[in-house]
Amino acid sequence: MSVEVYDKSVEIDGIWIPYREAGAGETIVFLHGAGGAPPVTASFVAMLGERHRVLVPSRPGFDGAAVGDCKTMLDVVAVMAAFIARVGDGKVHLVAQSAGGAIGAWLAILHPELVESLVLSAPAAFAHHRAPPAGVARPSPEEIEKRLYGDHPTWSAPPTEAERKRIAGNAMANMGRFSAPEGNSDLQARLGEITVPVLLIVATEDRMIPEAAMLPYQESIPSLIRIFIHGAAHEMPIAAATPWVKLVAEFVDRGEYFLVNSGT
Amino acid sequence: MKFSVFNGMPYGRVQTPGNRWPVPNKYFDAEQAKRAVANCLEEVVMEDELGFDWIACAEHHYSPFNLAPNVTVLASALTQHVKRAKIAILGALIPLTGNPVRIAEEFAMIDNLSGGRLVAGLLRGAPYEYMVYNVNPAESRSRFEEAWDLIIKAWTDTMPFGWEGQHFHYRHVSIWPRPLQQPTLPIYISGSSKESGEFAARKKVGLGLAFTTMAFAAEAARYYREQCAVNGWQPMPEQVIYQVPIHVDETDEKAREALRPLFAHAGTTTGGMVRANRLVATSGFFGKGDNKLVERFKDLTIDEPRTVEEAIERGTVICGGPKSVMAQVRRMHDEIGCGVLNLIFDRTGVPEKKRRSIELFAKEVMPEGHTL
Repeated sequence: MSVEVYDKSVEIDGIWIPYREAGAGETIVFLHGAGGAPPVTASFVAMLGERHRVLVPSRPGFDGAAVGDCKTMLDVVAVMAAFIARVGDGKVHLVAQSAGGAIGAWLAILHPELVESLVLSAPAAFAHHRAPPAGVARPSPEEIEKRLYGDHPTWSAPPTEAERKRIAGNAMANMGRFSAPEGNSDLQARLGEITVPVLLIVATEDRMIPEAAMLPYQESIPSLIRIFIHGAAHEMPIAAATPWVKLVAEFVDRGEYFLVNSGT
Repeated sequence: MKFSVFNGMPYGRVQTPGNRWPVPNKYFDAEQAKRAVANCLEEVVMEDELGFDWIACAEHHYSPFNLAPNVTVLASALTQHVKRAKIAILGALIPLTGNPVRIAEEFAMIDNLSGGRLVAGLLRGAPYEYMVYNVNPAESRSRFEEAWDLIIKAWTDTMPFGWEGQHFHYRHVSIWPRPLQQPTLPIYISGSSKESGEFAARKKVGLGLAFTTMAFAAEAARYYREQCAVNGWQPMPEQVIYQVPIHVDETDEKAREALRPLFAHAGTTTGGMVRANRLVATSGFFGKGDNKLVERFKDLTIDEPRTVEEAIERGTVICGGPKSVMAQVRRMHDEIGCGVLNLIFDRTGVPEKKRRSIELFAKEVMPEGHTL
């Protein structure tokens, strides 16, 4: 079944938020990582859209969206909450990739009335990024792409040069733009307030976010289920689209029954 | 150098028309099986008291050669008889069972039962074993690597987790007990192929070399050490194991005479296991770059030594009086660089000869061997 993906936009608090929409069914809101919206050729949006309505909003500062009055991470969270209230059509399932993880977790803490469940996919909030030591070369763009997407990315075509520039530009422009306490300590202190079902997906070959950065979630959220995708690189929606979509869709559909073999 | 005795609970010889494999179990005799079990358990006690460093066992199927299709069952029994030596499972064939978490649980349990004396061999297995549970040999490498990662994760991760892989799927894993040995068990894989050597080096684990010649083993060990350097580490001597059949007697001549019947039909038998190995080896079991191994497994009989003297020369057997056995052990140590010899003593098929051979080795060879 072929699912169309549509480009749309909506005004939220004076900011035009571009978003993609696909499919029909219970709503999944995909919160992107540091590179902004995934490459347009990525297959996972349409794959998820086979049984669900998928929304992929860009956040303030990304993909041409203005920053508006957003100065802190919580300001961005407020804009995303307003987006969900406007476009989401009721409670939604949040699927937060990498840098989107902090936004997703805050939404679950501050706006439980909007959130049915939360999937954290290689969340980055508690990774401590350091510059490479002196004398160690920064990885090339090709190496970074390999670390993100692995050897077998699932997309209809590799990103164009313009797409690569957009993604790199998003990451550069927004790194450290929205203030948060050192190490997201405020988020860590409140993770225990998350009451919705949480699935934490970890890539065994993640060379961007160390596994230790996932521990605060598991230690603080009793209902959390952690699962590894074997052999996957960091951007699992693209690096391991088939198992990733399977896990996300099953969790969204079955909630805590995700833990029980359904025979499929 | 350390010395391990392989004791796979052999049943004894069974002559079948055409040298079949699988061996029809209509030849199974309950009384003989009882004797095999009793012999095994008596011998491991003796081997432990004689000072062998490891008592080893392994998983093999569908033949009286080794009555341990589930090697952890045998290893569990050994923990209650062997009081000092390490219990070495060399190993479990982790791609075959379909449940790596169960293997992780059983190994951890054996480490607890033995007071932390388990040596863990996680192997891919010989080609023919892929016929046992109808596993696609072309998937053996990916099944092995995924099972390996999952087992290590089960031993070392301290919070519940799920697993979504190409071959194995779990929603909850949190094994009890964990292994006693921390941060992890001493781990080995088997490594005749280049891919195995690269994998062991990448994962920083030991390498076991079995059912091969000294020349093949030396080359595989050299390649493994080279790959370890590429991965930024240097293996300890005991991280290379060489497995070899052995018979020690009072004199060289007596020892060779005891083994000579084994070579009476060398190169002329075309048994079921030879055929099974050929079928599987040529069905994608070996990876790219391992053409030499594919060729070798196409007909293992071509490669068989024709005489006991030739076998000694090629290092596929150790045989002789204590003095020349020591010389052969030293040669293996020097050429392969192995720090552990895993010795198979039951080639004569005569229990009394086997025990005498074990005693001679322990008393007249092992003390000097331990100084290597």
